Amino acid sequence: MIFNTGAALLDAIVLSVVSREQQGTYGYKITQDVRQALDVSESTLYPVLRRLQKDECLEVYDMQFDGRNRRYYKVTEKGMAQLNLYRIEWKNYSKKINEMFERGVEV
Amino acid sequence: MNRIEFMTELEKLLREISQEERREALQYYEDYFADAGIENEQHIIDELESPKKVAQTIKEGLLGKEDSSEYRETGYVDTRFEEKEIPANREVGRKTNNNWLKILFIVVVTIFALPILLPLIFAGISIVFAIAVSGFAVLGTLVLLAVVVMICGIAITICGIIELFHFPALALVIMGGGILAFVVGLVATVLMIKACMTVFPILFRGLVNIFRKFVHRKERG
Repeated sequence: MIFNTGAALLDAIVLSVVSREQQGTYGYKITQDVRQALDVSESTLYPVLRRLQKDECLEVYDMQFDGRNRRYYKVTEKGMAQLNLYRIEWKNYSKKINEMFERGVEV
Repeated sequence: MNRIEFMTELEKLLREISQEERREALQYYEDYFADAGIENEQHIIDELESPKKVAQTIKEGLLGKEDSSEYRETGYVDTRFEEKEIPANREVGRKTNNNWLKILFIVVVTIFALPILLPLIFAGISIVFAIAVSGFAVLGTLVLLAVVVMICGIAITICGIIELFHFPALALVIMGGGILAFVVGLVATVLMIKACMTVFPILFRGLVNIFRKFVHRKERG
């Protein structure tokens, strides 16, 4: 991507992706889902998930799957509040940028 | 390199981080390989590039160094050098909490240290006082000694004058000695008073400085 993705935007996207799954979701699937919007490498998301977990925006639990323990990530209440904040911020930000670009076309 | 080799190498490279962080990271990548399936294994290993790069990403994440720069409305910002503003309440909460803990810690330490600290402080003050008083006393004694020598000189001279008519020769010797003692005493007295005038202010200043330092350190603590 041409534009840099900051830590906050990546956080927001990850929270959004995880929040779509009521029962929680796992690392590989999160990466695949985030990749629909952003070109992230396979190693990008672990530090982000770990940090969000430490910040108590995500909680983890292990569940048996296919004869092994699989780690699931779920958005906490705090994470939801954070996500809503990000959504509002993004709305304002993208609106301003869009207006800027549209004005540019008129000139 | 296959998955097992990759994970073994990664584990080795993560030795320096805490056991908990290592376990978390390894579990994540174990899961990742398992969920991707054997058919994607080589593809993922290729894309991860090397265990070294993955380990570096994990370690940088622990130091809060991922995505160190970004574009903002305020311009290009290096996020490593700024406090994260959101979630704001968490950051502030932790900070004040920390301060309270610090204050509590200081109070507790002070209470426990008081029985030891208080006598030590008094002992220190006493020693400084004793040294100062001794200084004054020594100088004072020397001044008195000089004055006494002077007075003796006068007395001996008077004795000489009284004896002048009985034993003139001896009286002259006594008078000479008396006058000599008087002059020596006078000179010594003047010198000692002069010495006191220079030494006393220095002593005073030193004393004041010591106390000032003491009080300041207490304020800082």
